Amino acid sequence: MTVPDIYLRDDGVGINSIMMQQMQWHDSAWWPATIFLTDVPGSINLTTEPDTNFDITKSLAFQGIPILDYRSSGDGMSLYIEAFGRAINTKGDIILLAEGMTDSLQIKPAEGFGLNIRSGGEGVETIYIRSSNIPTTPPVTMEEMEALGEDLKSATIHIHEVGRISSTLPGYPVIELSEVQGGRIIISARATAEVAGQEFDLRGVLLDAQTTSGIPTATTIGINGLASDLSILNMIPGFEGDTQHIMVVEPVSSGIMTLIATFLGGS
Amino acid sequence: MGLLERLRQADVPEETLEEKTAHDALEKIEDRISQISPFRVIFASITALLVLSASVIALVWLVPYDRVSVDVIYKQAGSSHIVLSEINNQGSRAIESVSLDLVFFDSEDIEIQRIHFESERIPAHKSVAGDELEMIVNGESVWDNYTIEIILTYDYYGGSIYEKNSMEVGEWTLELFTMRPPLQIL
Repeated sequence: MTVPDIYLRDDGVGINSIMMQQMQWHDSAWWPATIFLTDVPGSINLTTEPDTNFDITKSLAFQGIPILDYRSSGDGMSLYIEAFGRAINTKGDIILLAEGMTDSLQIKPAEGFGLNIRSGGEGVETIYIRSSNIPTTPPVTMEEMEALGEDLKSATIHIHEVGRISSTLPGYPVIELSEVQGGRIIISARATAEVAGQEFDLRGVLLDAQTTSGIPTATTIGINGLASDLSILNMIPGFEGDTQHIMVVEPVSSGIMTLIATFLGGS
Repeated sequence: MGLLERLRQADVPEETLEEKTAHDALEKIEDRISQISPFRVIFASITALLVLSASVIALVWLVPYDRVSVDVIYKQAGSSHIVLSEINNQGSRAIESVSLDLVFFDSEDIEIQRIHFESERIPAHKSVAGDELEMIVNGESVWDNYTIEIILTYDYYGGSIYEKNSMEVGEWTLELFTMRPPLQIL
């Protein structure tokens, strides 16, 4: 979308705000997908296409994700997307809020079936994502997942499967975040599993070890989520280095917390 | 006379039969233990390891058996249905004239899409995966249920195998399934 230069505001903004809504008829009801854009630059180019490169022998976590490429003539655009799954033919409902976007943002598959996130300039000021009601894999249902990020610039995510036996016995997942350039993030999730008629309130104890340029800088522990400065050393003026995170779900304490939450209750 | 001298002079009762047997056993054990040395322990461990390895090699490579499985993964990616498969020949002999069909049916048993894979030979302890064993179904609702039919045929040293199975999908975004024809030995 391009706005002719003569109609641009002095700060380069082409359109104050846009609203788009698509309605889908499904199960005897209309389901909406709504997009709000504010402070839209004079020119924006947004392309998205599904990734069609699959390999059953590698981690499936990011295979088939939509490749997103956003470029614009200026900074500062904000967007709000709310979509019911039935409106966009996908399982789960999503809300995405991004404020203070820069002139480029790419989310695409990384080498080795990882995920590559790159943002221009100083990174996205604030981004909030919420997914809910996703029947993940038998017997686990992701009731809700929320992520809030600030000043996110770049990250590459890989999920390694330790002790992989076969494609249907993929092993224990170890999450690796690399090439992190800064920002902070808060993640929270709630999942349930129904086994033999009993619904379990799943609790995952997540361990996150952070290193910058090989220097161990932080360890974070969280239950069903975490809050972390993605690169502590990069907050020091003049220090530039790639930060790496290794995250694992600790199985024993996760099992104990799940049993406590299921049978004794918990928030 | 002191207490110790008295004890020494006291009559020692004769050993009973049970005590004698116990003493003999103890002497034999002490004799055996004296023969155990670190070198012998290491030698025995290596020998046991070799025997175990030989048994595993014999079981895995020499004893002819047929053990084939097909891993099928169904995944919803965006608004598409993805079906990925892998043929694993875990048997000790190659299989030949291998054919795999994956057929995607809707809830009214109408065929939507299929893939057909053929291979002349899959060696022992090898797996086959790749683009020819992948199916991407576009334009179908992810809110309906579907059936994936899996048909595997191949020849092995003892005959031919025809195996057909199906998996119900659509309720979950990721489902894993393994089809394993019965193990054939000799």
